[in-house]
Amino acid sequence: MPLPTTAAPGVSRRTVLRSAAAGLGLAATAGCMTASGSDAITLLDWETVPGTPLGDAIEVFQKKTGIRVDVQPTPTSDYDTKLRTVMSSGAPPDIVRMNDDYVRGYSANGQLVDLAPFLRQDGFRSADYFERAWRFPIQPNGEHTALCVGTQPCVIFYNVDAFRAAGVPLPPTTWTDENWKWDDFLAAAKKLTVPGKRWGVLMYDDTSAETTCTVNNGDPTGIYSADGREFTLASPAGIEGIQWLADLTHKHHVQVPWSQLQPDSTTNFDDSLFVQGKVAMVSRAYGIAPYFSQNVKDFTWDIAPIPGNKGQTTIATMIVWALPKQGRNHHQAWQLLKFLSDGEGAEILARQHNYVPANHEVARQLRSNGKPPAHLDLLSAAIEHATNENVSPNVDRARTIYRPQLESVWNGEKSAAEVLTSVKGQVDRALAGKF
Amino acid sequence: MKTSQPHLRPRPPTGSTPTSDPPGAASRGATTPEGVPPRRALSPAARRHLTGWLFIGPVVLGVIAFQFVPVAVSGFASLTDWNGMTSPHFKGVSNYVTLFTEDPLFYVTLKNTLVFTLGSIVLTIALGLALALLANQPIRGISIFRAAFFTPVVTNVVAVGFVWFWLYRPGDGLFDGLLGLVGVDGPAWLADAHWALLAVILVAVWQGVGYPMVILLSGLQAIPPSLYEAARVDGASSWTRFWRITLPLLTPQLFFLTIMQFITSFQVFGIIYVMTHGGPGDATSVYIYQVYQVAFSQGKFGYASAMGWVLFAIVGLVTWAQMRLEKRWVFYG
Repeated sequence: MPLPTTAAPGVSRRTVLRSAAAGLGLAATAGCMTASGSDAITLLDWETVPGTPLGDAIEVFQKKTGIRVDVQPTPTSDYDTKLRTVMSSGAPPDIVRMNDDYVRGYSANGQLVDLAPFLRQDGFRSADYFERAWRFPIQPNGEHTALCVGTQPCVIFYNVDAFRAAGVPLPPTTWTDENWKWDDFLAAAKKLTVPGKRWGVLMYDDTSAETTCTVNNGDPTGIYSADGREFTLASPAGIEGIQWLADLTHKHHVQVPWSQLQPDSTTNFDDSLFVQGKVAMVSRAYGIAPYFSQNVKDFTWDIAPIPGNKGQTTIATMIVWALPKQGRNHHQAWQLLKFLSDGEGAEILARQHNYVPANHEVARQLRSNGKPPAHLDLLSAAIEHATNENVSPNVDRARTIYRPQLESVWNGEKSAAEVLTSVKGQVDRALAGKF
Repeated sequence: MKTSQPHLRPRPPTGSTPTSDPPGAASRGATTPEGVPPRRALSPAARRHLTGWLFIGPVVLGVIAFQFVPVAVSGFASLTDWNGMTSPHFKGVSNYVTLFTEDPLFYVTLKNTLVFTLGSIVLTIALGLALALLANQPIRGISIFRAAFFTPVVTNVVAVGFVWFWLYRPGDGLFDGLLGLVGVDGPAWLADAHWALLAVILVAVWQGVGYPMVILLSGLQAIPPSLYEAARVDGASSWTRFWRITLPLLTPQLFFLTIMQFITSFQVFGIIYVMTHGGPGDATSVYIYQVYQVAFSQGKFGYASAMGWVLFAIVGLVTWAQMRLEKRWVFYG
């Protein structure tokens, strides 16, 4: 069919071009308009918000203040990448949930609002908060670049029924390592292991074990030195701790083989092993508790402290919120942050039962509701026995070097000594910012 | 058949008055009675040029804004310590020097990428050719066969990755189950450094084999049947016909596929990200995955840009070499 040589009747080419130009102009204008007015703030979190206590708290906040909160949902997987991208974009959300490992780096880059003036203005007192949680976001230059609303200590989740069936004494219900040292833990794991049906333990897929197994073995620095410039996981205590973790699989055969775990954590596959009763004990941050509450149907579960050795500490992951400097509504965002960390909002959040509120008053409301776990009081005590990974702006790079190499230890191909000593030079150079 | 000749300037009819003044008619300083200098009219040729540019202008602007500018920015960024947040500081070529001399992962990821590329190119094209030969048979229902092999090409890489992850699972995975039937303990496909890259290559081949199959099938169907008939008359065996007729006449398609597969394989990312995250260890860590890690996990956009330019140079060099070798083996009939 020949192409028409003229425009359709009544529509000249000039009209078409003018319309296109007008459309482009309109689109450009629309693009320049902000997605939300100045009375709204945007929030970024890696967890689903609607229908959760956080969602409820936001609803109450909106009603009380008239400030609209637009939640930008983000899947958990690769949240840190998403956050880095939006922070680099120049148009970040007004308030962001942040992995505690990265607060130092963002602060060093001057990306976060110093909250100290807000805290002073609204009468926040450090005495009202757990010291560790309060001090965590304070930077070397004195700026208070984030607010920690709570902590999620790493604990051992265990299948109470499996313990009873195997005739294994239950772990301690207070923060002690009496009868709960590495050897006791291993002995329990051996008895709980039923070949082909159930593994005794799953611990090495939780990266906090890198720190706890080093610190509890006598090296107080953990993975990195206090200034974050040396790779201390390669210390004798660190090597021994990592080897002990690997031996649970390859020497004692009580841990799920590395090959059966999934590299992508988005499917909860590894956690589902506990839910299905295929693992009797798992080491996890307490944030996983709602998933277990929702999905464990066939047995009773509880929590226990991390086993000790030469010491007994745990990692307490901080629940951190921050205000990006390039956000547009610092004042309104602070109103929400204040609401979530102090008073009514914090009380609503505490109903999640998946973290320990940083505020003493709110934390006192953390009591067992008759459902597992029975020993919630372990959580508050855990904060007093917590350590944190030393960080520096270059730990991201360091991790990409040593963590993949650790897989050959988890696979049983190489020893911890072989891997950690061979990789130490590279990691130290990365920590020094050499590449 | 009459064809229009748009490149010829239309001539005014004989005796008609030109619609515009000839060049120079509006002499300098000449004015209209009102004292306003007359507008110089565009010549028809210039008007046509202007019209053409007006039409392609938006596209050209788009290409400049979304291709040339980002490329130039990344070229500049590769010479800085830009982290995406603070102002970049010029570092000269130190990112490149670090990459070649200090970065332990550079050569590891490059080697993995080369192995992946060579393995997937050879297997994909060889299998694609075999499938094309099969799909070229005049059999009822052959279209179902063709569709079956092409479907993975248009299947989302995430879905493919997850399906194969389960096939490879040690113990209760399909492959271990099948090997178990004959008394063989399967390897930890994705968790064993010796097997992981091969396992991922097999997935890439399975997903990508439909594309060369279709391209080569079109090539096969373009070969004149008379050539085969003449060869048969001369007593050529089917093997000889394949080597002497089919393969030489498919070299243009093979050449195209080799170049395209090299470029796409060298930029593999999705299947690695979904299935192994570069593990175990660095066994499947490929170049683009490392670029992604450096840029978006570590915020080293300057360094990642340098990595990108090195990749561009490698791909460009190899493609240029392939083009240079084209005359030696590609037969255009």
